[in-house]
Amino acid sequence: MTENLSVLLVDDEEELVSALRERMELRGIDAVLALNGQQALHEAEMKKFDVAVIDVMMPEMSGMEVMEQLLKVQPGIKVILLTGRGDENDSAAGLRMGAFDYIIKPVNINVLLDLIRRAVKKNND
Amino acid sequence: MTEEGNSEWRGDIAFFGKIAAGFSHEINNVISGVSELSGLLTDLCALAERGSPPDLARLKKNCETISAQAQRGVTIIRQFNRFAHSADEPSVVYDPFVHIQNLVELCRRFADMKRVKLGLSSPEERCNIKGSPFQLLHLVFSVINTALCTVEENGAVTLSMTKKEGGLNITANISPVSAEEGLISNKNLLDDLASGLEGRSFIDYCKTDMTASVTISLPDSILYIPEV
Repeated sequence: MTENLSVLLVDDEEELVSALRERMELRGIDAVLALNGQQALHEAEMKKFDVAVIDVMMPEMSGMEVMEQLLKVQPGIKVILLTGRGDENDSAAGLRMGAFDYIIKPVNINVLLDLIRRAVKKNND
Repeated sequence: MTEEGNSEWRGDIAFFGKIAAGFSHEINNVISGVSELSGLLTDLCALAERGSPPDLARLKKNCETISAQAQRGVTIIRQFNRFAHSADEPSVVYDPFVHIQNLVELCRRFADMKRVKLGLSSPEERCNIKGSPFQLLHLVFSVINTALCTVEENGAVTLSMTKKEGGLNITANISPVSAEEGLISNKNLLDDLASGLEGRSFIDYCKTDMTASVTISLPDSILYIPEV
């Protein structure tokens, strides 16, 4: 079953994000991965996404910086922050900066998909 | 405990906490990767059960990636374990290079986050010293931290160890320098930590236009020379 959703996955942990993309694709979701902020912004210039799932702690550009830039390129995009257990303060700051929600690693794919669908629904409402 | 001893103890705990936080973050990334990869294997098995022929090459690639992640986890745990044991005894004979190399690996992500290349060059001559590896690591970590606050983005911090007449030098070369204040604001902390080491250890600072260095000078009394 194909869902009409396009998701941008941004994380410097290549193995994690590649597996996540494959799992989303198996569920009929169009998922694109970016391993850093620059790649994410490049992808966002090429294609419109419904949701971006962004790791908070990344070298080069932090997740917050990526979110800030991404919202300028695609103001309608919903951002879900991906965080380690100790980064809740960052995530709370992310919510204040405009993120839709955050999820703690390791992620449960069903919880993440539910969050993505809620984000898209909120966008459509 | 005296006020001075109390503040020293709190500094040690804060240092241990920072390393432990970095370690737990890294290991969480490894576990998250394994969790996602095993989830993917479960998905592929479920597809096969529903009649879709299994893609053996894809399955094999996933298993290899899980194995590589497990190996990465083992390395990180070994590094943290070695670090944790550095606090076991107040005074032992040890090779400082082994401990500093391990610390540099544990600090690599902190440097990556600041977009700085952190390195350690191999010494021409290895030696053993006496004392607390943990105390030395605390000082070296504080030097690395100072260097990371001082170096320009995309710059480099390179540590080196030189045995010389009169003792041992551990130097952090910082290139290029962006914020000299980092050196100045941490000077008292570094001097305090150095004076807490065995012998008369001290910190030497050097600054040119674009580069700087911070050197920990350990006296020869700290060197361990085995009796023949």
